[in-house]
Amino acid sequence: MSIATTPAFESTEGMSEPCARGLRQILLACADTKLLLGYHYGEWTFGTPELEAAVASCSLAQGELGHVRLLHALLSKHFGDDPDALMDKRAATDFANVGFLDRTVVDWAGFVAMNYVVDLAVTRVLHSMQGSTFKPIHMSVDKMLDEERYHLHHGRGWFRTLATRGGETKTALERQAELALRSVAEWLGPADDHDDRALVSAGVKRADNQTIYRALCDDVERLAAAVGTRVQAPAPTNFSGWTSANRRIGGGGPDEEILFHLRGTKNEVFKLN
Amino acid sequence: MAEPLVPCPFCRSTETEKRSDFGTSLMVRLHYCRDCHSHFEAIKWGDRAAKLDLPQFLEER
Repeated sequence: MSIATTPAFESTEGMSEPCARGLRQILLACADTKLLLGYHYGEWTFGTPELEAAVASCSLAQGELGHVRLLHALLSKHFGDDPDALMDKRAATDFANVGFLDRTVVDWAGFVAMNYVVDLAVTRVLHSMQGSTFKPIHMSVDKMLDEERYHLHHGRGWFRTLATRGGETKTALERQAELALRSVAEWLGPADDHDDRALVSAGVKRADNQTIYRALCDDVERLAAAVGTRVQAPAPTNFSGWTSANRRIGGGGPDEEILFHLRGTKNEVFKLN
Repeated sequence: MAEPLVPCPFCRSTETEKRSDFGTSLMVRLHYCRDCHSHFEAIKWGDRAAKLDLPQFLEER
């Protein structure tokens, strides 16, 4: 499947400045979100409602961290980013992950919202780059999409399970899914994001982020309706203060405690070269 | 019975071979792609035959 009628790129050479900048930002946004997904999935290898979910969560974490490596390799090769610096040297406010992951995921409804809604959002963005005119991304995107099928299968299964239990379980799920959806809307950004438009007009992405958000809402609303629940989160209308580097309206980033554990700061002295 | 064809998840090539019946867990086999020289794992029973719960855009893959 190809989205390209415009010339293909073997590297960023020949790309317009907004296009190259937009590509780095969206790759970094996906990598940061996957890094935080990996961290939170990893935290849920204990305390799940059933043992199989803990095993699955461990596997989901492995998958996401593998995807981070693929994305960091692209960022390193084409933009000169240092993967170690991306992990260890940035301020929290330089992270471009979905804000839903900034804090501890406190309960299983939050986990399911993360697994279904947030994971799906990144998958939708990657899907929009399948067959991209930026050819170096092809192999990585295909591999990630293949593996994300299992992540999504797991998230949707648990979404169905919690929704059909009704009562407080269903209410908690609806609330967390709406929080996740609202956070994703913020992450995807405003309709007038020039860098995102440049990516679409160059054929690097097939759809702009607004279209991706609508498709995501459609996915979520469809499943919610099928299991007798309702999840709706209007996208923000005022994006003042939003930047593609941070992807949050009010700034901020992951909790320092999360970054401390994620980076293994307390074991820094034992790090291998 | 012949081993089912396992396409490379990196480059989609079908020029692959099985290297081991066990990978990092019991449920996967280790394969090698002769085209892009990548090692990769695949779930033993495959998922293409099994119906996963997915939205349409991922079903089409």
